[in-house]
Amino acid sequence: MSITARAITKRFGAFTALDDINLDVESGDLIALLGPSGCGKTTLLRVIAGMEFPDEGAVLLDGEDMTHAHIQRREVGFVFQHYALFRHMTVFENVAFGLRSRPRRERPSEQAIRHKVHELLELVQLGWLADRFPAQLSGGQRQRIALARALAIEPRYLLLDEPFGALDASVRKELRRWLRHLHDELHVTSLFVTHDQEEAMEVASRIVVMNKGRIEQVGTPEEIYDHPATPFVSTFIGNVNVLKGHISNGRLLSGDWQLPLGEDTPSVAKGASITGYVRPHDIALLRPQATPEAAGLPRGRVHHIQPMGGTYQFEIAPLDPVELLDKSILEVELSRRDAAHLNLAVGETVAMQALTIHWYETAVSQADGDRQQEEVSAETPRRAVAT
Amino acid sequence: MSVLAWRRPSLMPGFGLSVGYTVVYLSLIVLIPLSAVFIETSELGWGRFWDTVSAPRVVAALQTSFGASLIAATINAVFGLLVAWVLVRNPFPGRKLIDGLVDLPFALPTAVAGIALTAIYAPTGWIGQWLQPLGLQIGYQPAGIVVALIFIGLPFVVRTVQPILEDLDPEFEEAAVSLGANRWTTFRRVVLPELWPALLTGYALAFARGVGEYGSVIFIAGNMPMVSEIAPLLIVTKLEQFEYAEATAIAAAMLVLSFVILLCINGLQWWRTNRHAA
Repeated sequence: MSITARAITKRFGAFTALDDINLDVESGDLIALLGPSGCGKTTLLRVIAGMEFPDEGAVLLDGEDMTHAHIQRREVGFVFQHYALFRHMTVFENVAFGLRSRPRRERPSEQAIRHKVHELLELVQLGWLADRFPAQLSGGQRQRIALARALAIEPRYLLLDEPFGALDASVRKELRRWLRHLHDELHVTSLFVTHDQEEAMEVASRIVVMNKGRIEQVGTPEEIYDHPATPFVSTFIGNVNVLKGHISNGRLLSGDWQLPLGEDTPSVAKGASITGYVRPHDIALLRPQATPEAAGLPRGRVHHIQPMGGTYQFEIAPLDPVELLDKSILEVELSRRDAAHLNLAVGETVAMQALTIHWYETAVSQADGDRQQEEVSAETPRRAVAT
Repeated sequence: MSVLAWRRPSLMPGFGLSVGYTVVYLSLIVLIPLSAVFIETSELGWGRFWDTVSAPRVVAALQTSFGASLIAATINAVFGLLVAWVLVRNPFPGRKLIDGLVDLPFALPTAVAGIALTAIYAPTGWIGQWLQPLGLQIGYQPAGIVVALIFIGLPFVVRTVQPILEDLDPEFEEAAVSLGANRWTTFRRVVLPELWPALLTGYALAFARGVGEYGSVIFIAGNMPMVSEIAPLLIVTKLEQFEYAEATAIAAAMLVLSFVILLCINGLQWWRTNRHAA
């Protein structure tokens, strides 16, 4: 029950919603389509479902070309962002709708339908709501009923459009976990759309990061987070500090920061400009006089301390040169224990050490006359790790 | 107990003023003129009232009026829904023009409509002359009344259903189709239930308008007593004979009948809406 998208392009007037999308989803996978709003993730889902048809390219379901097949031939279960439950039908009638709409020859007996619906309602743990109308349910309950309704037709693929988008935080968290368990139980190839990276990381076995109608990266949550393939993924997933710097003698230099390049780094022109990305938790803070190494590190002044429960967020204004892009404040995140150990106060001076920097070569073009335009090349993601 | 005991606390100002205004306004415009009908009628006393209203010619006229209105409203409900559907869902060139055309029966003086319809459907008219050999006569027959009332009532159904249809999220239909329903099942079980309240309102409006319609009908109806004479015409006839009390008696009968039928339609609507409410 695999899903394959081949070179799919979809335009709405002058707007290109999907631009040459290639994607392979293996049978039984649970995939998140992640990206900012307007990136084309919902369009891709609708193209796979058969609610939109691509201008170019092909959709293959289980190896069979279904690009222009009717939605009913595709055997997909679709869950809408706003549930789309039928308001004038009870929960039971909603879930039974798919079975009762079958042609008479294929329709199960009324008793079989009854049995099946109650089984599904038990699966979503809402058997006691069978006689209610959708207006009488909470958001989380509606979403689970919508899911039960989609599962009633025994789909080979489950497609969910922002399934938790309209729910509040605690319900959302509970439903995410529940969806993952359900997937483990049913093993239906599933795709869900989200703009929430935390949700994608928590639920999906693999994440497809999209931006401006293109796929930026496909990978497991770990791969996406630790080895972002493009600058967009670096900034979109998690918080990040953006630096400018250059390469010199096998080392990455950004202001007073120096990091050795890894062994596997291919040769880069000496002096090449780079853009670096440092996660807040990839910066260590030290007392300036604590160790001999600390004396040589760039220093900054603690500007603000924000306790976040398990972690503490520090905003630090660099005193020594650290070439920050766009911002003048460096964000640093420490575990509760490390923060307590350091016992810093606002206004104190600290030494900062970058532990891991993702960097990309900066291509310099002079298209705009005198103004140098710097573009980050997406083709050469690298990692520099402190030893 | 205070008169305002049922007044709920509200942030909206001017509760007393707005309710007072509404009651006075409705009294002046609707309630007082209508009660005048009953006051005038009461001069007759029950016996003569009953004699007037149960006269065969009056009963026939009432039957014609209400029967034709119900038939026309039903036809309008079906085809008005179709027109609204096409206007909302099928963007075709010239849609705006057709959309504007729907309002024309509102704007056209009804006498003009009546004369135009007569010219077309009379046995010698454009369409009438072709129907005549088939044994179908519309002009100067009860069928003509129905045709005129369909013309007059169409905008009511279209204009009440159209906004609901525009607001109806296509997701409902997509959900139904993705669950395996065909077009007809989707329409019957998903779309139509959403449209019922608006459709009933449009039906009620078209019906009410049909019962009261005068101008367009008298030209095409032929106005034969016992066959194609409508109740409003009978009222005018009575007035011309200075039988004011008899005229208002027929009017009172029409009012009561209309009220009962509209009440039934509203009740049906209330029942449909409240079945699913939270």
